[in-house]
Amino acid sequence: MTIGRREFIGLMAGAAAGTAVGFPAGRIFDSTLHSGDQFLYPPRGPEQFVLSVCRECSGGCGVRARRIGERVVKLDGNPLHPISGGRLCAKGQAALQVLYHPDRVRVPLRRAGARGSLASFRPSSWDAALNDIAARLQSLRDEQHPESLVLIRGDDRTLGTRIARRFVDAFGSPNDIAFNGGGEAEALALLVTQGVRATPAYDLRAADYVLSLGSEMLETPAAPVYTARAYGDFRQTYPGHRGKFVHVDPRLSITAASADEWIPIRPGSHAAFAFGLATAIVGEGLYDRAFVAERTIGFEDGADGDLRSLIEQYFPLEKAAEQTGVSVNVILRVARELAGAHNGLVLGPHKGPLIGGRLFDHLAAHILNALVGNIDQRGGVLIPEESPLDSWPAVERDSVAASGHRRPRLDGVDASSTIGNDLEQLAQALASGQPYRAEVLFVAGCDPIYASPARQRFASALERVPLVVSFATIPNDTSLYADWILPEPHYLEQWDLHTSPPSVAFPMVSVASPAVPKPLHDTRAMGDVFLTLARRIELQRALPWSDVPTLVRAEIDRLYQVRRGAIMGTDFDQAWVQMMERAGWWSPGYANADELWQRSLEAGGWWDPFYDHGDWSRVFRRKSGRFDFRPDVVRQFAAVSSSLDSSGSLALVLFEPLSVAGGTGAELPFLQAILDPGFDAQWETWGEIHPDTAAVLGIRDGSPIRVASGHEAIVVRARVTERIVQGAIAIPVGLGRLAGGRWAAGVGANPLRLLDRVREPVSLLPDFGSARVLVSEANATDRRAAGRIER
Amino acid sequence: MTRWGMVIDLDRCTACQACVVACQVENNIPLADRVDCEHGRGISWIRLAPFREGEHGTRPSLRLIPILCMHCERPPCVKVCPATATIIGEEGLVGQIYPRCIGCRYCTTACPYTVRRFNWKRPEWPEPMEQGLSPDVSVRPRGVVEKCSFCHHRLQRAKDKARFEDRPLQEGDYVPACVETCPAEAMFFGDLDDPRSTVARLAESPRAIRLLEELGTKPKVIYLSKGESGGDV
Repeated sequence: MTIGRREFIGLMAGAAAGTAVGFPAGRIFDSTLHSGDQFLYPPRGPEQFVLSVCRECSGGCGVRARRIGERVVKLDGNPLHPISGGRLCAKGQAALQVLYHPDRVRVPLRRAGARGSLASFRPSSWDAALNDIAARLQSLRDEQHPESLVLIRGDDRTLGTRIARRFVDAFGSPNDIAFNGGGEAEALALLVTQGVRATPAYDLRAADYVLSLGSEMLETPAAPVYTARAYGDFRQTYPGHRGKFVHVDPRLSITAASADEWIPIRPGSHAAFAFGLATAIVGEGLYDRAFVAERTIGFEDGADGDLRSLIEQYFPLEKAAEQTGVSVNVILRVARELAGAHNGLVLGPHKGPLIGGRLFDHLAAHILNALVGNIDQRGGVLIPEESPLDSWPAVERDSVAASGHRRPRLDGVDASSTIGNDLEQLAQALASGQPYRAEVLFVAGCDPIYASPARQRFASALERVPLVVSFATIPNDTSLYADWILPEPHYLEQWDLHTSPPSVAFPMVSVASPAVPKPLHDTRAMGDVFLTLARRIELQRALPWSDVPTLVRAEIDRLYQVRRGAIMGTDFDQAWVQMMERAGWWSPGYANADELWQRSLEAGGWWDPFYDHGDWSRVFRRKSGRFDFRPDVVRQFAAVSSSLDSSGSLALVLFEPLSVAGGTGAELPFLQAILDPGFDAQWETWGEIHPDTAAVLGIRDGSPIRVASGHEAIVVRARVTERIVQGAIAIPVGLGRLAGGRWAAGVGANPLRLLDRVREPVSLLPDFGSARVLVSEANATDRRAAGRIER
Repeated sequence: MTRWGMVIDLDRCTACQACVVACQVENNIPLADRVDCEHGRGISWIRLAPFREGEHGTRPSLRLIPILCMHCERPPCVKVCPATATIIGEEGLVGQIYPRCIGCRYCTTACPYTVRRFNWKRPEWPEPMEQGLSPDVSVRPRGVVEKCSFCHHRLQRAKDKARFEDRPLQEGDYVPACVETCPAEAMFFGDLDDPRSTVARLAESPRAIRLLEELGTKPKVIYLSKGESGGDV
């Protein structure tokens, strides 16, 4: 073969990219794009493919970016990546528009006016920002008040977040506060019954019956693409073995539309339905006797109460039928289907990144899984294993840091608390300055002013903090209340390492490399900012790395030391590694850390696909070494669950459409246009009301309605539909942003504003599902008010 | 003879709309803002169409079906085009030639699947959004009709690649962007005339149905209904 100019450049480009996949690497693009009178300048140069990891949600999909010249023109899944398998969701596909978004933060912005408006910010420089922040931090250390530093962060495992957490630890502040809204209840159910701190993984692929108690598993699970791939296989992989899927919820969601059966229940009665099933399963003797006898406690052996007597006392079938509005016959039928399935799997009401459901509902779902013996089985609930890189050696704290760590956390959460964070309490502490004042507050990877039910108080509390720093790619609602907005690079512009996302059972490390040759704007990765700050205030002992890329490489050295797992590969590679590991072999295909590094860049990363079923000491970590039905906790919940707030006319049912889940996505026009295909809903917030309920309230389809709670009101468009049960209104969360660029700010309404001081009894988690609202046709004043918010 | 076709398994499909956005990014589809969308002028080559079932008082159900150009073997749009701007090619792809299109919109009316879209305004990308445009697909001017091309440019690329590697085109070399991204792996693409291909095999499934078959359009997008075999749509 002769090598011509084209081929030669192609080969060179392939070699340069290091991650080139496909052919003829480096085809040259030199055409023009034009449309009539308009000339656009297309990218010029060779084509290459770069591997990265999507950060549009917590899912951690491996991405393959197609780059031509200096521009990235398309994102697809990395085919070798175990999470994405070459696939991406709508948000992942649209992420390119975040990179090229016109309203990105381009330089550090400093506030020069009132809080709450982007117009108050003036462009500044990194030097000014870092000098200001480092000086304040240094004075906190000098005054021996390191506890006055607060970090509110997203619950992710990116390097940036991990560096920030280590910085706060070494600095001497206990206030490392995760804002994780959604996942917590699901993880807590696991902690309460099994003593494990992790988000459970569901082996959907191998299940043959899935009962979703309001889990939007096909829209907004923790890892959407991973779950969707498993769902496809659950349905159609093996001829003659099609899994059955039943969805129980007040609303006919997009997930429910895919189900074989949608069973509408009254709002807030998921736990009642689950315990109704438990009663039927126990009453008919359909539970897994061997598992319950050998692997659980608290079923019928409790000294002061056990599950069997509790459900007889509190959850007779008739009562469950009355509370849920589902007939006894249907409850019995579902109970028999679930117990009769080979691998019946129950999922609790996880509605999305912000709305994670209540502990009682998740606990009830998890108890059902234990009753049918589907814990740590194929097709059951799996317990994720920690990735080898998840933790670093503990920080050696100096005397200042040690004194700071002796102070309580501002949100009152400590090791004995059930909940991981308490934003309401934090807002109160910030506002009152008790038990001590917060002087410097970092917000990264989350948007508490948009997403917390304590929003109003949180916004005014932030005004009491002298220095608030927000890290953002596109300004979010919380950024508007900051003193500095520091521009974060897009994920396609930076190096990163991602360990397994929540709800994925196997340990994994994905390497993300920058897909564009240089950042578009004057951005710095959050990890680099904290490493720089650490040098300025002399905390290098805890954070010795010069920059993030150096750290990424150092982590791969550490990964080599664990001596297990393999490079990401095809299905065949996976089967091979699993077979070898089962037989006790390790043949990784790399001989040293450099080879591991090179091959991780080419394939996307490292993983260990082997899952050891039935390792009970790992799975059940409570003192008993068994699954605990926790009759004590169930009794507490059962005693209070009947006292529902009944003021207001309709139950408020909140949900998160995939395209704007987690309060992000509204920034992009493509995502605004696909909010709900069932209604063809676009660019607005709507409220779904049942025709019977609408008739009583005199509400017409399409008309603007006023939805009011005790302290606030919003205006949304009425959708009169049977997709929601009577006596409720369902409203999507994700729009109604204060910031987020030209396409997000002021579009739609934020129903989280209607909530205030809502907590689930017993667990004290924020409860998004218990509010009731008054709904009426909007009058002219309401519409004007809504218009003012919107424009 | 090659006859490109698509199979969509509605039992796997989760209606997540990844296909919708993948298509828009791949094909340089113009941005539509809130006002455009309110006027029904947003463009998408593939969309999820809702079919609501259940009378008032019975339990409703909702079916969401991805609808795109069916690349009919007897396409009504080709017949009505006065400018020969819509043609059916040798391998069965129904193409749209933008410079020939006079914007009369006969085709949008003739298409029973309503998948053709008209460009009501000049596309605009606020700086620096134009940097994300793909060089593979031309940008359409105001006043022309556009529709799904089965990512025809990807076929050109796949053929180039096969020629470069001196081998015939294989299954999987050429898939449209929607098929590539589908998270539930519900979409399949290939040569319906090749009896060994996945799509040809699936097209013979008892679950296989074609939309508006009775019109005689002979669509090359085939759906697999929900259920074990031959169930409901």
